[in-house]
Amino acid sequence: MAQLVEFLVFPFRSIFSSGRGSQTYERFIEHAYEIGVNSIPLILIVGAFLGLVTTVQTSYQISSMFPKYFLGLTVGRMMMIELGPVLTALSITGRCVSAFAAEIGTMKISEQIDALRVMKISPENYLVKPRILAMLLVLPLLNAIMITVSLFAGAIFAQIFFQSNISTFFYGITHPFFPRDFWVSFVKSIFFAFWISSAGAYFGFQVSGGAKQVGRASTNAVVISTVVILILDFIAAILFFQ
Amino acid sequence: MISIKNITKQFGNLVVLDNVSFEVSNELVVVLGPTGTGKTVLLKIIIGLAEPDTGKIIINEGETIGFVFQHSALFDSLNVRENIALPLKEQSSLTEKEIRARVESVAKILGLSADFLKRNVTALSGGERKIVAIARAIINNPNYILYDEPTTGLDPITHDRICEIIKNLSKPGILVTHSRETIKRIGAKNIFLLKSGKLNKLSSVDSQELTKEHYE
Repeated sequence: MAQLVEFLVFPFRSIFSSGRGSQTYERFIEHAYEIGVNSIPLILIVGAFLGLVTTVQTSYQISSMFPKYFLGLTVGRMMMIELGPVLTALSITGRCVSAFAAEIGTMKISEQIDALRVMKISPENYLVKPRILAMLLVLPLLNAIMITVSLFAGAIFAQIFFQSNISTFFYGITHPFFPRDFWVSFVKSIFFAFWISSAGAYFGFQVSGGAKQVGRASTNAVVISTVVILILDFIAAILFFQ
Repeated sequence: MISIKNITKQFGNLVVLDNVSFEVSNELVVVLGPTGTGKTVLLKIIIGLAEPDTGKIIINEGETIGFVFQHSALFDSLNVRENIALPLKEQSSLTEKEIRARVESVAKILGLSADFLKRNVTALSGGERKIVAIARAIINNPNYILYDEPTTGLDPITHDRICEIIKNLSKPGILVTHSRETIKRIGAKNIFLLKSGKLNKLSSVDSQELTKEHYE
């Protein structure tokens, strides 16, 4: 219970930790680049295949019962509301959150975090705050890329294999269009970003010992982030779509 | 002045520091002891990284302490120059130009070339890392420096170089080591032996209290 409270308090303590803003900004840019730009290939691949699979499965379910634009409507809703934000967060958890835990954990056992404290530099401000802020900025953008790529992949696939032209597919996406679907997707991304980046840093800070504990921290960060994503997703479903 | 007053620290049943008291004013105090006797714990308590069970540390207001970690604790993502400059960059109001000048001045004192400053710390040897750690510790011109086993695991030539650097810096502080050779090279006079949690002052590094079985 105490650890849960500590985990919940950790990101807020980090965000409000004191330090020089200009230095936080430099590291924020570094992490934004690492999380964002370097994750784009992964997001493109995941997004494209997600769009293809979703289109195939949806077509299989509805093709004989509904008009063709329903394919775009259903795939678009699924991607925007559910699969886009969740799969983006899960992909980034695997690529970046585990790295956060491993990097900070290694710094902990090699006394680099102690060195920061000796130099009167807040480790939370130096290591955690830029990561959380970078993730808050970048994850919603990656979510937008994931959704866009998956919809284009789905639309192209539908035209080639299901004789549903691209304009019909996109007509389905935009008719009807509920702005709420759009902004909820990004609100979810922001909440996912906050908690998964916190989990990575938190488990890194918990490391004591050696390489085995760093590996365990990395695993814990991924497992807890995955669970947190699913719990938050459920809460969002209840709050916005029930 | 740093005053260490009645410090006690216990891990389970093991008492590593038992009512330890001493003072550091204008000279380098050496704490000698075999591996695992609590020398690092003592330094970490003084610097504030660990809490004593009892006792207190008193440091004169406004006085600062630099710390050289046993394994250097350099930041792998930064090059040598950035590592040395880190305390100034994060904590001082100096401009980039002033920080650069300060780093170059420290590099000159320690005999580090301009090319060396550009190197990534992951490419440095153990001895080179120790020198960078010393440079980082003195960049703020602290009143005292604490050295945690600064010569452990070094070849004889690098060992002598590090000792020479410490001797030439002539900074007051505390150096913990298990090596008599290090003390001889530095020429320290104020030597304590930490054994079974107790701290005893030695008359010299060749004292009869230092038996062969402990320190050779």
